[in-house]
Amino acid sequence: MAEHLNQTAKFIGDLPPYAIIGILAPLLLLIIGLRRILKGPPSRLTAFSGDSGSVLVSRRALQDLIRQTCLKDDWVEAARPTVKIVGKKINTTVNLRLSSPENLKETTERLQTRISGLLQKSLSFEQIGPIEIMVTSFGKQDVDEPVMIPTESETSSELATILSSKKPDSQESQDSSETGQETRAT
Amino acid sequence: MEQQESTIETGEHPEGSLGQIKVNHTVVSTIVKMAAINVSGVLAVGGSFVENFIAQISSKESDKGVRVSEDEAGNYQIEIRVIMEYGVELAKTAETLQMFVAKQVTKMTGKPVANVDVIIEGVKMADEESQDKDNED
Repeated sequence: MAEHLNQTAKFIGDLPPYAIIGILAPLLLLIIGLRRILKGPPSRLTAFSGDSGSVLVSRRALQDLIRQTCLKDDWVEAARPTVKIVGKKINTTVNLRLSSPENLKETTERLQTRISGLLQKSLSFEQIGPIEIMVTSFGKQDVDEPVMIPTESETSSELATILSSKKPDSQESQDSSETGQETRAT
Repeated sequence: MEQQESTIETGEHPEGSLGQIKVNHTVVSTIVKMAAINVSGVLAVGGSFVENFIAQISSKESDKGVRVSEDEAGNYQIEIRVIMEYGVELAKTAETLQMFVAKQVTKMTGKPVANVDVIIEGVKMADEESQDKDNED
């Protein structure tokens, strides 16, 4: 046994450094990959479980549900939700394309309330994490370089100022859709 | 999917036993699938992309999205993956589905169902799903 170990050690010792790197690098990548898969976030969340079995909801189903809810709103042209399951909480981020910057605040707030209500009512989820709405573009044009406007530390008056500066009918609003404005409402 | 059969208990025949009656799990999964699509709010039964792909290769269409096993007592343990209709109360529909599937399987096989685990894999509009079906055809 010891002889075999010695032979193996000698064989490894005789290997050129690039061969050792060549063997170790794929092994390391494999370990990292496996770790990511095994330790990755769960793709399903238990809505409830009882004597007759449990009901689980996949991340995709939650994303579908949120997307459909957003698209029901007249002001929303496109929605791309991302749901992350952290422990027993759902963290939601929704990227939106609105038809116009008008009613931006009302629309995002309305959507937040709707999504939260939907998850609570329809799925009995109580542990709902933050619902982050990110308006990425207006109209048919996509944003090239989004500008982050953090609202968490802003007062409502400051926010109103930002929003009022995006009123349509002016050339400025046209420009904003072209250059890109991103508003985050948490 | 594992090919298993379960024996159904039958009443004693006056002239002795005529033999065992066995039900393949594939049959049970077909019953589950048919029961599920009859529940209002359930649009389709189907698993993940990989599972559907395997089902396509193995040509076991009836197994798609349904997994049947038995516990130590011989009761059925069912797992079903579904796509639900947008607008329905998902939790309520899932609960109805659990009860209906358990009832149908017990009624048709005579064996009790220990649990029915429902996995909601997606939410679609009714017309969206019918369009998908048309495209598949």
